[in-house]
Amino acid sequence: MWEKEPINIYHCLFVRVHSSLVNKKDNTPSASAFTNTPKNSDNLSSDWCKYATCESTRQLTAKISHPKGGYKNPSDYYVWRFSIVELIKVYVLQRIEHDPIHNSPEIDGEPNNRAHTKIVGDKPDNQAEFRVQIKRAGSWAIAP
Amino acid sequence: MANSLKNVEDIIKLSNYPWKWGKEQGIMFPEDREQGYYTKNPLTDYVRRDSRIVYLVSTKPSQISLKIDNRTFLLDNRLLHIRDAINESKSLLELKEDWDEDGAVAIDPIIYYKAVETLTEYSINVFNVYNVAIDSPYISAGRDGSINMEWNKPNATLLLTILNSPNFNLHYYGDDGNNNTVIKGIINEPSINEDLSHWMRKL
Repeated sequence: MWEKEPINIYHCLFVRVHSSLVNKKDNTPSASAFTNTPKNSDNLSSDWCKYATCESTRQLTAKISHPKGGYKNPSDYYVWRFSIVELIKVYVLQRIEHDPIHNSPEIDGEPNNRAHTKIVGDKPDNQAEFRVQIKRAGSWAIAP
Repeated sequence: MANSLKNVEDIIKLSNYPWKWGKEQGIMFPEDREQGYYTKNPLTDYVRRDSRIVYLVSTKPSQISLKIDNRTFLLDNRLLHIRDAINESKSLLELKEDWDEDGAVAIDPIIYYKAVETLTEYSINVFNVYNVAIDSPYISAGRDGSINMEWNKPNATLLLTILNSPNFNLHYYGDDGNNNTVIKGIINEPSINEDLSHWMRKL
């Protein structure tokens, strides 16, 4: 079991971006790449750089269940690095919560992850503004 | 050759849509004109001769058609890239549930058609009012079933998002990259918003 820790706002967060969410024109994440996952939840999952690297974030995908069976393929994903300082400036204040995942024994398809961190926040009324601004809070760590 | 033309009005009239292929050497001519004798001039246009008049007939129609759902739009041929981008985006309609492997919803054709109709209408409006042919956006699906149309240019960013909702619901945000000259809002009517159209000249 890992304790929840206060997040250092000068650190960064890594977020997986599926290849279907890459803008084919300029290779940036497409407009809705950073909406909540899953769509009905209130947060976007990320990995805290204190306990993760961009590569470990990508590789952990191989232990996550694929909806059609088996596991997801890390090569289908790229990794975006958010500056937490920039992220919490975005439009409506985003709340960053360290939320380590630990099960013993580990659940097949839901890997333990000490770095797991939730980006929680009320999304603004204007979806377009939010989608533009949140993208500006980061850059590629593993680019297409 | 130019001296043989009857008048400028005839040229313009004959340059109008629609066109179809003639039988003679694959030359295009207006549907409402009889076939005649055509010769190629140095400007890659063709002339039709009869006993009284010589018409200049462009082989490049000045307007192109774009069919979206059950509506047909006529666009100036300088907006051909908009039509191409829309045609390319039709693949979004093939996205199945969970297309991002994380619960994304399939795209409702009604939402898609609302989006590309909006793009078409604004492209035409900006062209007609400001004589500017805007660039084509990147058209993509949102996980929530929305449709995004985004322009990321060095000095102008704009995102138009048509939400996945029963009524027309357009959210837009644009700026010059430095949060100056920001334009943003929510539109619930499909009619043209003149402020947004004015800003789109930059695209």
